Amino acid sequence: MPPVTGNVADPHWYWWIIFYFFLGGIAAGAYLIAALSDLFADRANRPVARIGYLIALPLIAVCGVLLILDLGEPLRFWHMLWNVTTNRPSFKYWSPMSYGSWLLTGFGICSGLSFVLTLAELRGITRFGAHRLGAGIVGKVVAAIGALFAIFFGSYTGALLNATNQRVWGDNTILGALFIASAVSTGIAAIVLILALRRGHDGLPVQRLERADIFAIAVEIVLLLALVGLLASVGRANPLIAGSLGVVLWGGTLLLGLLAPLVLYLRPRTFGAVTPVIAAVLGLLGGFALRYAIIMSSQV
Amino acid sequence: MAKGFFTDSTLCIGCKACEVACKQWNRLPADGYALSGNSYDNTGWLSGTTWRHVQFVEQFDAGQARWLMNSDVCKHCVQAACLEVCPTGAIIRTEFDTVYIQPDVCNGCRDCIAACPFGVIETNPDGIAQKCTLCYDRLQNGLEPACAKSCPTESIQFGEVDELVARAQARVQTLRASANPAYKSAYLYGVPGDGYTEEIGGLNAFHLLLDTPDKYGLPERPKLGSRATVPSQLGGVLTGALLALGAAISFRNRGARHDRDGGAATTTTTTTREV
Amino acid sequence: MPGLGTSYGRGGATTFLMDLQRTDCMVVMGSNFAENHPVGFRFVMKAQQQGAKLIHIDPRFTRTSALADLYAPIRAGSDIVFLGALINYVIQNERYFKDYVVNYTNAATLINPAYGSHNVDDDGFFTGFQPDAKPTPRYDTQSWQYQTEQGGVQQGNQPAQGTPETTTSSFSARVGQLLGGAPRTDPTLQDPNCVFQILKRHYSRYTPELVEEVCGTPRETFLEIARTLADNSGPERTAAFAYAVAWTQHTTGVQMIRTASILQLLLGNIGRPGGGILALRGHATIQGSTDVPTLYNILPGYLPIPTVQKNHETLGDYFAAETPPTGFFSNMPKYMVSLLKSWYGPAATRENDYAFDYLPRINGDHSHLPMFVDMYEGRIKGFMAMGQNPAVGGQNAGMQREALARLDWLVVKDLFLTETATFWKNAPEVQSGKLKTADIKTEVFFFPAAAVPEIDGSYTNTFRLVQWHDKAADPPEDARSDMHFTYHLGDRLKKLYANSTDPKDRALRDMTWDYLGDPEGHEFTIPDEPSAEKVMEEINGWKVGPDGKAALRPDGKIDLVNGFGDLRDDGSTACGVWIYSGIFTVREGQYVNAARNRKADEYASLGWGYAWPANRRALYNRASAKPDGTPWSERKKLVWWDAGAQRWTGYDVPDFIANKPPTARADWAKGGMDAHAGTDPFIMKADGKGWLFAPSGTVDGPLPAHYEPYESPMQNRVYKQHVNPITKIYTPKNAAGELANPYATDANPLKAAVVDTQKFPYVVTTYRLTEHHLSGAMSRWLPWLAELQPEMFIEMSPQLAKELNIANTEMVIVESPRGRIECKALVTPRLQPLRMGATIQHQVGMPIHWGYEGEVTGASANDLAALVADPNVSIHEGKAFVVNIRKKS
Repeated sequence: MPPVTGNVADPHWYWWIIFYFFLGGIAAGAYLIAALSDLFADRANRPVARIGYLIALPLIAVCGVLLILDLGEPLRFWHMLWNVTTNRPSFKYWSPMSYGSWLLTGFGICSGLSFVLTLAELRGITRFGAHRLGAGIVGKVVAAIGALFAIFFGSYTGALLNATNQRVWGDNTILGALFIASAVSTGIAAIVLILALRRGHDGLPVQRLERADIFAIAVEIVLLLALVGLLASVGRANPLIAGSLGVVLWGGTLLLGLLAPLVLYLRPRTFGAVTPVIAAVLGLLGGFALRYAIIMSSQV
Repeated sequence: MAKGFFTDSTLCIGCKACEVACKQWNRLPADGYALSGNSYDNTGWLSGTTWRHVQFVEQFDAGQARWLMNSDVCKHCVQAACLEVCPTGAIIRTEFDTVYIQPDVCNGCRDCIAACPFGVIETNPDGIAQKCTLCYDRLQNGLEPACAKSCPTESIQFGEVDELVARAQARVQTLRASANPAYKSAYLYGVPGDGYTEEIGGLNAFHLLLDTPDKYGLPERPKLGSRATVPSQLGGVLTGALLALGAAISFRNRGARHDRDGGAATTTTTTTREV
Repeated sequence: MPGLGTSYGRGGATTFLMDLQRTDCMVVMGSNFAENHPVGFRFVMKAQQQGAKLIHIDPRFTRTSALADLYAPIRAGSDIVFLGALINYVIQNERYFKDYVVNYTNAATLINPAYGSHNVDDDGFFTGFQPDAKPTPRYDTQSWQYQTEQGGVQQGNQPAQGTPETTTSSFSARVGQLLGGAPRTDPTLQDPNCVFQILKRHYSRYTPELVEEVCGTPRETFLEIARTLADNSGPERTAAFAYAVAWTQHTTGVQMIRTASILQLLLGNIGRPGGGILALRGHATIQGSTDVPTLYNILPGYLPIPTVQKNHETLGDYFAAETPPTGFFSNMPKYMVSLLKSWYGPAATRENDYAFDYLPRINGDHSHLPMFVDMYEGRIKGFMAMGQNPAVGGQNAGMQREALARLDWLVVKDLFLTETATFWKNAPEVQSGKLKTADIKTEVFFFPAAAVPEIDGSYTNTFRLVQWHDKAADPPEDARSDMHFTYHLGDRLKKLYANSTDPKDRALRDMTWDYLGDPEGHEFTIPDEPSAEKVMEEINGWKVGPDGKAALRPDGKIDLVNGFGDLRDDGSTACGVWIYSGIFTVREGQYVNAARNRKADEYASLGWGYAWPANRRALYNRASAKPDGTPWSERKKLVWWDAGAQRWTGYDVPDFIANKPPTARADWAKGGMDAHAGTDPFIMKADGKGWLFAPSGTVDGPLPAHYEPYESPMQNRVYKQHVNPITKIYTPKNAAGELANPYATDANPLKAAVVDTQKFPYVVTTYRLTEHHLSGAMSRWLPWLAELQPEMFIEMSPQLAKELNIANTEMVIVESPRGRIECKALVTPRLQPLRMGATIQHQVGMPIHWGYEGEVTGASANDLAALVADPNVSIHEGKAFVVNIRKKS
């Protein structure tokens, strides 16, 4: 595709949005992992699911607040869903900003349900048999639907940036893929972090997560390099790979956020027992650095 | 019938009457006071409170002496990127085929700003996105837009787009045939077949220019960003599915990868406790 | 004004803006047409769209240059060399329009042999120069006068010796007795004393090489312009000139205009469609402010003001001294008497010379600059500034601010608290401590003014077009129109002096002052607002009734006259401004103010507004036809003789006696208009011809000669005399005896010399920008305009910026002999250093729009300008002086 040229105005998506992308990614990834755990893993993985469900909703709630605060007219946030001119729901499947609001809503509902069901299980709330719903068919249906939402929600922000006429953002169509990969790996990292801190560092769940993360990181590295390659092919890589953003991207994302955790996963004795914790923290930092670098690359 | 602008930059004398008439009609505030040093252009660019902006390009090198002047404005694209992405439906196509942002609907998400290939839109002091309305209120009352009315040299011409295009094409022919060598490079930006704006179907507010689009800050190939939505989203979903598969496989695996002492994992037994 | 008036007869644009669409070649010089007259400029662009060439000659490449086919750089102040070289080119290459020149100009007229064969000699003086005359050097013009057929030389206007003057004959009859001899001519143009040969000799030294050396314009560019101009003049094609204050604001300003006037006569462009000279005047109604003048030295309609410097004892003496006995202005007595009747009504009678004695006599130059010199030196007690802002708009503005501080009282009437209103607390001199507010005893009264949409009234624009505007809204609170202020001031003064028996107060007591509107017939909400319509009626003129006031028609309305042709010198008519007479026309028995008309068409739009005189748009349009009355060409038809109807007809109102046939012969002895033939288009000139050579009208020479601006880094390379020998130089001293302008130590122009280029190496010119108006009092208070040009700057070339190590938008200090200002540098390739022979001369430019009050503020360029003026009209030399520049470190 020919690169974006001409004087464009940037939308001033800064810290509210950077954190939204980051936390939203974690929520999507964490929930997806939790759901997959629920649907495919044995009971030994139950903690993974619970943690995933427990962190997804609060993160989504914060995401909602961040988005509302970023709006120029925050009190009109609901116009995203309801067209006040035609008095009908507002939905454009070709506009990530539009359907993304619905994704957020749907994902929020699912993660809310899963959250409540998890709480019920943990608190032993027996009314209506609530404490068993989470683990039963109801929980699994919610998880399946929520997992679908999570995949869409964790990648739509990439499509949002791609569907613009800004330099870098509009010069590729790979950010959807890259962002879901980052969502999965940061989601895993968040769960690993909590698990490892709370329960010990060598459990099977952690190791399963690590294995999944190795795959996710590998895919993410491929996608990141593909992004740089695509940009370079139209001569538009510099804003992202050079200067201070270049430091953030190569040093923060690739080195510290992807390669280092990968190495730590493959050499789990490097820092002894706290290795997974370090790997998780680095992974989270790297995910933040990725969002930061990409969002700022079009707005310098 | 689509209404729009033909801005003939060869008739522009850089007087900025269009900027002032627009601000006066629409009660827009000044954007700020600072000498830019960029020729006589202290406005800089279109913004949420500047909807007409006169560009000045001094070209005095290599033996030429030329000062290009052009009144920039929202292009009211035939296929408008801003309208495509607007999630609230604030941006609509009016009965005049113009692109209009309803100020009471917009919530300031700024996706339109990111989508516009021409950098036309920005937020105003109230936080919503605003741009040239092609004087929608004046059109609804049978008047012409304020900028066209005030332009003393008729550089800004308002009317039905088809008629304007025909007029503009004739003007290009006249210019190219004239004795003045500076006019040999005259061309139209924003009409069918111009080689630049096909992807967005052309512009209802188009320009006659004397140099390449980049000299006026215009894009070579403006596009609809929303064309990238499906490929990017699809890539995301497929990648997500792939990673989900990987995770699912990992979770099915009953064996540990390792134990913390570096030895090979023992099978089956786990030491997890119930939460 | 005198430039055009001397050459053609009227001090105003010879053509109208819409006419420019018919030109084949538009020369814009001494003007930045597109920036300062953007609405009128579209007619130039229409001409371009039909193939016309636009030529722009200017020190800077401006927004006009951007649209031009040909741009030529020029050093500010050297225009006479450029234009003189064009004259030389036209004559040497025989590109002049011979039939036009022989028949319509004074090319064939013979001049007093005492004029000499050398014109301006190498020393730089015309004959008759009196270097020791007091108070300043001047010319005795006797040697410039026409030879007469009787064998003598014309004397100018003095009462013919020995002619008895009786009080029983009318003024007009007495004017007839002033007749001198008819001019003697040589239609072959060969006699060495004929104007044509004089012109040829005079401009023979103005060559393309001289242009390159003195103006800095490349020789080839000059020649291309000369060729284009010549190719586009003649029977089939016409060229037009437009100029503005970059010609008038020089010590040789009037002569610059004269040079272009001569050129256009030689090319046969005056009075022809697409030809002419458009004086682009810079305020919306400044033409009106010289027509109905706020000038000290003329009366309404350009009648001369009584002065003690001539024999103006009685009204008869005044007419004898001022009225040309031939040509249209021989009617002067009718206009003057009608004026006095309009001012003094029943009190103006034949017995008291129509109250001629009520008019004060001037005794010198009381224009703005000498007035401020008097104020600076403490001789003026009070001052009213109405829509004027000398604190930053006047030359050597620091001196003008200090002058304001010496007043006892000051009235400022304006839309905002301008720099003049607040000088006593905010002037730079107060900020710096040079003046202390506590020591300034001036009592300042501020009267808020109504804006244009808040009043009824009219504009008279640059081509003499009067357009009426109706009030659209009330002014806020205490804001009132200038007319309200002036009317009530006059009313209160009348009441104050009602019982005075002092003769000098008669004028106040007797002046007619009945302008209040009729509350029944108008929607005033300001009940004591005067009626602009009533004023316009008086301007138009009416018949005088038996009671000495306006006669009434049977329907009770005032009996207005139909035009200046109805005016009489016997007190039976009254008229405020004779050139506007006829602005009320009759339609269906009702008087209609023609200034209200709004019927436009593709060309002359005679149905839109009213152009004086008599709605004629292109002046001297008789010249658009051959001597036999047929058009010079089909393509260039404007006005022609209709033999069937025995009248002149065409696309414009003929500027000629409507039924005077082209074959009419001149009978000089009869005087008046009979002294002109049917082939004399310039009806206001005594001999009916366009004046190439001016025996009178300009005090500094009958022909333009190049002198350097008063402050110039180059020695005059054309003549030895460096500057105009009649330049007005002001040398005010403050209370301590110090000069306000340290550079001008001597008011004698003969002592002026090149400036010290070590101290002040750069030529500077000043100018307007489209975005602001003059001192900014009307534009820098409006955010929409303020943001377009927010800061004061000085434009300089990249080469100069590099030499001085100045970056774009960096703050610099600009210094002239008057002081210094600080502003930003705007570095642009639109300014280029000039190559003048072996030297490189840098030019810089400053807009004049800033001051210390307003939404955006900045330094005033006028702080740096000098107190020197043109000798004919006392216009300051704001367009060319010198500065030095350095970084503000």
